[in-house]
Amino acid sequence: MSEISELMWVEKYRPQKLQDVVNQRAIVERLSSIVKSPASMPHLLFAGPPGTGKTTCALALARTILGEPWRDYTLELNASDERGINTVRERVKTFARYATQRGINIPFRVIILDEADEMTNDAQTALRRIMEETSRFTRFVLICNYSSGIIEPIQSRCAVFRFSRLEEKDVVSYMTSICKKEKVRHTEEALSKIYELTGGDMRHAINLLQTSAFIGDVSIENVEKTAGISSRSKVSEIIDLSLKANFKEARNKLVVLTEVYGLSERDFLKYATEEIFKLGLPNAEHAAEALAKYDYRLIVGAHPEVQLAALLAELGRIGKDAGYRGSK
Amino acid sequence: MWVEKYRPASLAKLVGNEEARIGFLKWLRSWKPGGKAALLVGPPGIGKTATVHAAANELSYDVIELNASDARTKEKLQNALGPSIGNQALSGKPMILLDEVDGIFGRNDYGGMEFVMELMENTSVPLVMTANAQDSPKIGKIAYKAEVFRFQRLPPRLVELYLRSIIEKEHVKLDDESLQSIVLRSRGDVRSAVNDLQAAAFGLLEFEVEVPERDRMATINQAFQQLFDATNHVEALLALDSAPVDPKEKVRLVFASLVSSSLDIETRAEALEALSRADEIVGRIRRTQEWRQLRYLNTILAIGLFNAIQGKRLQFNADPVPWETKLRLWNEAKYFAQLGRTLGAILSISRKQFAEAYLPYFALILAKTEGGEKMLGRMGIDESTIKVIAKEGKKLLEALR
Repeated sequence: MSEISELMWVEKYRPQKLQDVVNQRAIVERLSSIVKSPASMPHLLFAGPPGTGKTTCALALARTILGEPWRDYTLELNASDERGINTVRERVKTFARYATQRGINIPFRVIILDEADEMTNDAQTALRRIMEETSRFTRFVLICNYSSGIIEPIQSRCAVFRFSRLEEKDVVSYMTSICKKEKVRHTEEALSKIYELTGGDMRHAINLLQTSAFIGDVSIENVEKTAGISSRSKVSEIIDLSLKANFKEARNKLVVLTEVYGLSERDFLKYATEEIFKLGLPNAEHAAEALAKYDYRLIVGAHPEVQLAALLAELGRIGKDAGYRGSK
Repeated sequence: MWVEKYRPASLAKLVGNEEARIGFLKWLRSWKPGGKAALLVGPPGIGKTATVHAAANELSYDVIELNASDARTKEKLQNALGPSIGNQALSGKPMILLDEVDGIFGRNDYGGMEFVMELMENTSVPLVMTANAQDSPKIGKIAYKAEVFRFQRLPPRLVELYLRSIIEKEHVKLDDESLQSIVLRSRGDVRSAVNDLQAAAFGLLEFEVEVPERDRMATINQAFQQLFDATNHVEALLALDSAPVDPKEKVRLVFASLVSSSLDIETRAEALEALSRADEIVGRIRRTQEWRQLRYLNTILAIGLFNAIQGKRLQFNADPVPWETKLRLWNEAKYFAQLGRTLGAILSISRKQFAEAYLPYFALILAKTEGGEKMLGRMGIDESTIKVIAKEGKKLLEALR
């Protein structure tokens, strides 16, 4: 384990075995039966909200089937990090070739492709071909948030596993066990608060937990203070400024968030939508229409920054109509 | 589209791959019922399909063409081809072209492959197929039973000659450097080269322009200021037409001017909405290569903008990012991206996820960890990146106090 994995609790306490994965009992059972006869394993598709154990299950599965040298036979790819389908094809091919040269007895190599639903339909069609071309030596584990974002021909070639949102008691009890091992002072209410702020995303919850613990102890006050630095709270601030028709400042903060820190436009829209709906604007339907319009144009347009800026300006108009004075 | 306009009508007008072309013509000329089928193999855009059509034209065959998107099941192939195979008298002198057969045979071909094999065994009309590669076992099987003609990528010299002939006919002005970069980019694919040429002629490809940069900026500045100051639709349109930049850049420059001017929220929202629609068109053109859409772009942009900003003062500005943010872009952005890449690989997350759920927390945790910076150094993360993330951590700590 590298030093960073030791440092970051989210990695340090990532379950290594399928059995240790939190609250996805049905999935773990099905996967465990696959592990018993790996030769007949199909390609897998894991769908579900972020931080529910998809990557963890994929890694644990690879570890169990491939044994000690599993890292040599597992390729982790992130669709959003690769520059197009040709890069994916190259990396998969090189990997398959490299791995065949060694004569160790393993049933196949595992390729974990995260964020597969971010790929365009064309890229997915090409991916489907790659899956076919290499299926003698490899099994794919595709990971996505929504299975509807995956084209039908790929879905029909995969066994689909749906991960459900984690419940409060499971996330809280996992955090409690971490606190014990790390000897951190905490209160039950603070852990509940973390769950509330992170909506069942275990990865996010543990990061928030650790950060709170590092600046003091895990109290409601510290948790709330720490959450104030999250991407979500930055988005919330931008939305507030926009609705107050303070376009220039809102857009400036948006540029910092997306261009300097690298938050994706889609993630921005996701948080923006949640934050706007929380405010209970009298003309919320206009806001929803604006969000829907620019969500679409973000995909088809040529300049994402133009589309998001147009959204901020329109929110200014909507805020004015609603007599919006500010969230606090 | 020029690709269609200049599709060679006769074999003599095709360039490159002489041997394969002549071989194919000979094959077709001497073809008799019951004879072998033909398979043309080679990378895209080098004249396989064009050869088939030109040869058919020369020997007055009527081509019945099917490609991967038309049909892949046995039933569909039969329906499409049935009449022409069964009844020659009705359809003149037919020949069958199955274009891009590699696309027809997926895992779901539902008997398409068998049907083609059967067809090859026993045809009353010439059967021609094209494929991009011969590696797949199915194409291999076909190649085994067919007369195979191999097509190679064209040498740059031939691509250039061909493009020059089009340039002459279209009276396009294009400097040698741009032409050469199109030739290089095509890697022997004539179709894509012609597409690029047309794009360049429409100002859609970005090239170094010979005009000195300063003069060019002055012209651009003037054109856009005229657009913003226009007193009617015609003036606005003329001004936008005269701006010597490609459509994507037009959108960007209007955007830069719009966000940096002082405007009331109504005006700004309306103008940005018009710009957003124009940007949608630009995106569509880039994705679908439907250049005809370009005709509408200037109208949508110029008039939409004119109607939105009527009477308001807009100042030309080429830079949409305020100065202090720009500094942060230069000094920090690439280092955060670098860190996301390195840590992403260790923590099984993407750069995007790093930005979304890790970055601020990680910066704080690192700031509170003894020897944290040294640890990053041991992982091979460079000094500048460490400096930037450490500074971010300290800043966040300050903010929390």
